[in-house]
Amino acid sequence: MKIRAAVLIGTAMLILSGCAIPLKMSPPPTLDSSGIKKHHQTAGLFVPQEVKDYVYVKATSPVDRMSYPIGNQTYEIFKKNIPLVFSAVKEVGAIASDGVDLTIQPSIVKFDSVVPMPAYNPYTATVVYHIDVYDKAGEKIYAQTATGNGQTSKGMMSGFSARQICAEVAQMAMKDAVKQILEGLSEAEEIKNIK
Amino acid sequence: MKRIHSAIFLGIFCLTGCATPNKHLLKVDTTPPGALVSVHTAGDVDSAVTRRIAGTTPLEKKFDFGKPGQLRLEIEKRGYAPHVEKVVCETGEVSVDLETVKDEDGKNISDYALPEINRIFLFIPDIKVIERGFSQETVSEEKSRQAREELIKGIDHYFSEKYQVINAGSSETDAQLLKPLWRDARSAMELVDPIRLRYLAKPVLLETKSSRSAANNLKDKYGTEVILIVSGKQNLETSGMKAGKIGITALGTATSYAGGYSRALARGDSFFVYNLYTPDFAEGTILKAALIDGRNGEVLWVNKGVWGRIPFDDANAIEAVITDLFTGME
Repeated sequence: MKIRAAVLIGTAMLILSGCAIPLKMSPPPTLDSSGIKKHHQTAGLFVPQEVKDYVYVKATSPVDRMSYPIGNQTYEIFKKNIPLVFSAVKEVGAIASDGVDLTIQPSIVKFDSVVPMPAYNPYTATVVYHIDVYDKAGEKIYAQTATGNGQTSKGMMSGFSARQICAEVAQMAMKDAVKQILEGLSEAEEIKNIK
Repeated sequence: MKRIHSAIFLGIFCLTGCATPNKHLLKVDTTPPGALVSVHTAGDVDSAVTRRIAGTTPLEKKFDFGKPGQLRLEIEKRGYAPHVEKVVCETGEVSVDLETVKDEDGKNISDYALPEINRIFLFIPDIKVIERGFSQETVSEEKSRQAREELIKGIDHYFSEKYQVINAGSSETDAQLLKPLWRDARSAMELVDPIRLRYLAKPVLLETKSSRSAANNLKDKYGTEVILIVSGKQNLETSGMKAGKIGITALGTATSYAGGYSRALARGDSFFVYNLYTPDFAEGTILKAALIDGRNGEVLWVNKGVWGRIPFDDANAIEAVITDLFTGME
């Protein structure tokens, strides 16, 4: 009796701990920079720790949940792509740090993902990013909010690679939003005028 | 046995107790009237999940105070600071004098109203028709183009009695103007609550200076007071996907039938039960729309909705969807 109970508890713990494994997401890509003009300034990228640590958890059943490392992906995608808009980018630990002409601070306004049931229906994700740009004195000079959407599926084959599709669709939404932010930063008159 | 009866009775009693709403009459009045009242059952006033729109003041209705016996009312009106009021079952009546708020120039904010409209600038709708196949999905350029063209026709027809609809935006100059507008409008359509928009303390403006000046340039160029933006997507399933689903469900039904039949035969029963599986086709359309004031980039109206498959070759079907989408744009 004791052995049976131990086996049951062990199996349940194994299942539950297995379900808590975070979704593996490949490193975000460098986006297409066509149509994006570079500013001459040195930009500071300030991603607060709470943004880096943000994890989106999606319950897909009473015993199964997926955790998306959205904060880390956000940090990585901004780190990789902000240099497309500025001649130099430094990571900084605060707004108005030394050695930079302006500071960009991204935040995650919203992330949502649809994991369909049945699995052959579309997988979708939406991310809303907000950035604030501060000058050397710490004054806010520009703000932008961008919404990125993603949808993908492999039709009837979707159920066989659901986790991978969830990761893919989240990254599609992030790329869409970051692309808009890059375009917005590139066109912003408020930034062009900063010396 | 007696103990079992008592337990069942107690269980039923508890369950009925839990299901009973804790409703009490509450009068909500504001000075000035015409404020929107939202109800929050949890402490977080910013959460859209717990928000329920109750109506506009003066308001008298039965509110469900739930198990905690208390609610938070959020009262909003354009030009006035939002007011949060905690009420309990016994409160009965709430009367609030709303405080005015000023704009950045220190001027009073006027009540929500659409500007006088004669001409509407209609963006080419950004709509994608996605065909989902057995093992992949693709955007159908041809069907997307047809959807765009038919939506333009439908929208033009919808407004034709009242306004002139200018449909442009294909030139290089327009494309440059439209880009920042699209970016900001997408976020407005995602984040702005269609019902609360007209009651928010301050008007919602397109966020970036470039999009606001783009709206103004379009107004000057085409003489249009407002800009209408429509975006969306339609998911369709290919015949291969449908055939696959029909095949799988038919196979499931046949397997269930065969299993039930053979078990009934083995038991000598004259009847058996089996599962009938029917295919579920995931086809549908999402449309979002926003109306922007060309003078200052104010978001005047937003709406979004979900429909089934819209046949874009059927003018009547498109008219019904457009009428539905533009509901509330007065």
